[in-house]
Amino acid sequence: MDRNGHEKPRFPDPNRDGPADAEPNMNPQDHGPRVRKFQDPGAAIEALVRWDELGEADLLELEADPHLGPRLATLRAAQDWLERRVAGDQPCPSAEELYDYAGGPGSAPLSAQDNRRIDEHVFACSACEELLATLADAPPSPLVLDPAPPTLRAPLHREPPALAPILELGGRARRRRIQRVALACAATLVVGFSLWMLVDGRESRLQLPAAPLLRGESELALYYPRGPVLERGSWMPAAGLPLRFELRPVEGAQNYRVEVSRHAGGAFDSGSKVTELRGALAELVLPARLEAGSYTWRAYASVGGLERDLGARDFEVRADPELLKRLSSAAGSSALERDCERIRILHESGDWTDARECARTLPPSAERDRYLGQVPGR
Amino acid sequence: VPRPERFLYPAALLCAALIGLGLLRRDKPVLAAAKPPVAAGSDELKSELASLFQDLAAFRSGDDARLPAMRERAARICQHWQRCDVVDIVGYYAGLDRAARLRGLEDDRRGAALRERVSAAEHDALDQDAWQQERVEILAGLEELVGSIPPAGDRVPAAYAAALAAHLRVEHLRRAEWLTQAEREDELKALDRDLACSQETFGRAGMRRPRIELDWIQGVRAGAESRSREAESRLEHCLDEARFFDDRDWQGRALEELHGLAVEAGDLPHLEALIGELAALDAPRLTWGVARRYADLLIWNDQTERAADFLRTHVPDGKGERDEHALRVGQCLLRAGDVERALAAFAGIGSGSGCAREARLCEARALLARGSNAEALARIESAGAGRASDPGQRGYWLTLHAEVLLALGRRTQAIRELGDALEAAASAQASLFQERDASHTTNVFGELLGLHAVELLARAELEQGDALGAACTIESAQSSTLHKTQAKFSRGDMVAWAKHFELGLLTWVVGANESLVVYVAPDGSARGEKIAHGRRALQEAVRRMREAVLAGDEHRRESLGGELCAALLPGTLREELVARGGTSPARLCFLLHGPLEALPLEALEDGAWLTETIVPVVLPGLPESAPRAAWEASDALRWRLLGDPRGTEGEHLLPGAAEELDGIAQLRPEALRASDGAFDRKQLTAALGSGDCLHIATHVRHGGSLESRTDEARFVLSDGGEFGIDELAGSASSSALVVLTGCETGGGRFADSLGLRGLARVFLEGGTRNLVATSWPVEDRWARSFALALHRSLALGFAPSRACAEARRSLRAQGAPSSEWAAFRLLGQD
Repeated sequence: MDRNGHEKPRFPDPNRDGPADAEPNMNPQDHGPRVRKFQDPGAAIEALVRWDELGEADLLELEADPHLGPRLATLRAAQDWLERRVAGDQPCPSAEELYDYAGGPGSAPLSAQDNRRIDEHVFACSACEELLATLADAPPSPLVLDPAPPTLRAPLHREPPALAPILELGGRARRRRIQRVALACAATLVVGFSLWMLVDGRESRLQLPAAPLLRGESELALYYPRGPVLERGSWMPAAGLPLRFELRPVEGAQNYRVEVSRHAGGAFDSGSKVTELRGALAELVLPARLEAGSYTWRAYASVGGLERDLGARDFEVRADPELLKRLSSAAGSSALERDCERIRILHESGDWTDARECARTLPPSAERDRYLGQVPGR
Repeated sequence: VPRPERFLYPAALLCAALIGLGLLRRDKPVLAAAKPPVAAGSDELKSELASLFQDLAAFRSGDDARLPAMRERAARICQHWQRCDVVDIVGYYAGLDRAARLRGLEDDRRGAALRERVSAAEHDALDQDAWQQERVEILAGLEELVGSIPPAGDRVPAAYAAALAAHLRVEHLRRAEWLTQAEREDELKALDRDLACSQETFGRAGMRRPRIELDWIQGVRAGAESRSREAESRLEHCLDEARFFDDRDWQGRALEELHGLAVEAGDLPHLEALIGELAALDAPRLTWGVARRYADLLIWNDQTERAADFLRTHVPDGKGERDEHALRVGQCLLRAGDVERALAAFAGIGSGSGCAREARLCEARALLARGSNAEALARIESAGAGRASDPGQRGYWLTLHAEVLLALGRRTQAIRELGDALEAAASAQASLFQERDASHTTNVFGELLGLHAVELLARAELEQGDALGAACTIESAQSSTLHKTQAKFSRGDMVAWAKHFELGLLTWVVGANESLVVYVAPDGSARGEKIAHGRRALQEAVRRMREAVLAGDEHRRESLGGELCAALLPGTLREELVARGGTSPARLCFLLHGPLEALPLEALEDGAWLTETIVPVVLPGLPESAPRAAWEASDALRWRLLGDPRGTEGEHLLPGAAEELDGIAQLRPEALRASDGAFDRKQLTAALGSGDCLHIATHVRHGGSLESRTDEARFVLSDGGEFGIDELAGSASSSALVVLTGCETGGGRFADSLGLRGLARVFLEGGTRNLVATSWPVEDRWARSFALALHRSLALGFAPSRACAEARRSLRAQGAPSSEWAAFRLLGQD
């Protein structure tokens, strides 16, 4: 019945030659006479499943079989029904039309002709049927223009649609549908991913500082630490920030060595070694902060069993109460905002080493990685 | 019952996610169609070759049936592994009759017996006389073998015999210094004959691998005759072929010879690369031969603590090797100031050792350090001056002898000897520069003889009251690559240069342990001072100063600047300069050499060092015997403005550069402009060759291989092109003024007395009279502001040095940090 109480005269049942509810004999254990080729029940079912791919001779044999012939006829009828339906079908109504058809809050009344058209379509189209079901949910609040009715009017035609034959039977149509669905999903995902990347690449949420545009870069091997480095601060994690030695990777290096010397800070002070680190690049980390003072670190890469000198760089561990005070009272409504503010303060004050270390404590994000990926140009 | 479609969506999402991941991992596409076929390993090749040579041996022994299988295998080897020499080899033997092949086998055995005698002599370590006798007999045997094989027979054994003879002869020529000229010429003729015989036969037989030895012999021969370029080329070819055939023995020999040539040229970066390759051949355990070379490299690089650590973990076993080890340990101890332990290490090296002479000279140096001057003199003289044919050895002896003489107060003799040593070094250097590419050749004053000799001579002259002479010595030694005529500077030249600047000039020489500064006033008077710091200390101090400037640490900049000022202008020199400076701007030429070339002198211009009225003019050496005429505004009438490169997407790479060129174009409407998309190779080449003043505002990329002595800087052109330093060297501008506002255009790689080798040096060596360059990378916007201020000052008629100083002042006034305004330097003479 349609929403106006009419029968659906245009859609005869798939099995025109007999009652639609007459079950064909699909029992493979039936021992009646068979054509020799399809005597094996497995082969017979396989042939029926792929009947549309069979050759003329095989089809004739199936037709001649007293048990398989009727089943083949049923399958053919179903296929014919589908093809006729697809050929004669109209395009799916738009989402707005479906919404109006469902009669949800704010819906516009449809003409009787449109109502009939959509009703017939929804009966035949499981996709629209499912979409229609989702419209039973109320839209997000800003879109509610009128007071919601106590209950949504269900579509008049609420009998569960007959299972689409395509789902019950194998065939080209089913494969085509699967392909379409898969392609649609892949396209959706790709578009979604691109949009996500696009949105993610836009103006940053964290607003971490960026390096100025230089007219080229030096051939630097030793990156961080450099310049001023804080001794320790109450805002730091309990264990304090580690002191990480970052340098440009050397091709073929088996491992690296870093020597740290402390000196008085004068131009000609050579100082004395206070510590040494060995290992891969990621392992060149001092877990605890050094005492306040002037330091020089010199790095070596071990290539082919011989050490290559990569140069030296100074840093100064400072107890900077003023800066520490600013960091402790960094503004922000959340821990993340306060951390970002601290990074900005450290960066602006020239303590790039601590700013980077602080940035490492942020949750993973493209912007954080971009900030940490900056290589000093000079 | 769930619909099958329910499973399709997750499956599709999973597929799409996998595709997405594949796209993300661009370097490893998961959707790659197919993996390339796996290349066959060398083991398979080795097995094929072994089978082939087995067949060949059988074929030569008379089994003709092997020929088709051999041909087939050779073709397969050629096709699969590109070893097509085997096809020619099979073809050669197939062309011989059976009797010739059998005779060839017999000749092979005769040749192998002679080769065995050479190995036995080496193993038994025959003394010189016994070896000479054995050598003559072996050579006679080889000659007889070569002559006995008919031209139509199997001549390959003859080729091997001739190659062995050539090898023996080239080693003899290299070592037998007692040979008369006639004997030497005879030996050379025989060597050429043997080489020709081997080359011809191996070539005819299609044999590539035995020719590796011939390349080596020719390389060694060229090196012995001071044809360094040819020697390098032959040995490089030998090395390439040895790599191709995976012949580690010949790779090692070629690398050792190349190492010797690099030592001769003082080419430390190349040395480091060669030692690295030798170490890779030795891996996983270093032989003493490589360890010794590495320790030497560390000592030459002033890293004696590291050398000592390395030597502690690399102690050889043999007696001779232990002496070499002790010698180097002693050198490290001496450098660290531990004289007594150094003397003990040297004393353990007996007179019979191969390094006894070196040990005695090192002892003398230690005695000198202890103050036992007379004993030191006796020790040096007992060691002898060394071979006259080796300028390095002789120069070292003369320098040490003169140093002891100076300590003994015998100044005149010391000056004479140092003068001789430097003269010999200059001549060796001239020959090196003639033979080799300058970028791979050092200044022998720097790394072969050592700037120590220059510093000693200048110090001796200073002590004699001849400060002007000391300035001439310093500049003659350190300006050689700029000063095209390679002549020494006279006192007159020096005075002429000093007169060119209102406040005269300052020059330095940085020695291993101490340095000197000499000031020449415009009136020709001169005075000098000693500086208690050597190369390593000054290099570190300059690095610290640069880092302080770049970090924007004003307090540290001033404190380090003050210290450096006190060190580099000791005594009353600074006060004298300030007094001469007066209240109006006056130029002072700073001839910065060695590590001082990287000194951020301009960062002290705001009164932190000298008074603000002193305008610095910097040069890495005097480019000519006399300065050009004073700067006229008309010298900078014709301008070409270049830069503002576009990226591959058409975007402006440097927004500031576009504004910079627009601003200059407004000041100089007549200037020709090649910017934006028009900034290409053609335009830049044309501009460099035009002789016009140039302003180039673009990115500069730096870098290059580890072996390179020069920073391989490149100008970035539009659409991703680059204009490299090699191209620049071929078309360097000789214009009156070039402005380079890219990154670190005044920088380069440091090579002792050569200073910084990079873009600026190439421009100056090419004849550019004045160059405004940057000492480190600068911010785009400040580079633009500087350039506009510079051109405004030039338009007002200021000379380049003054215009540059005014532009720096303008940047300071605009609030730029010292890391920006101090980056700009004038290199030139106005």
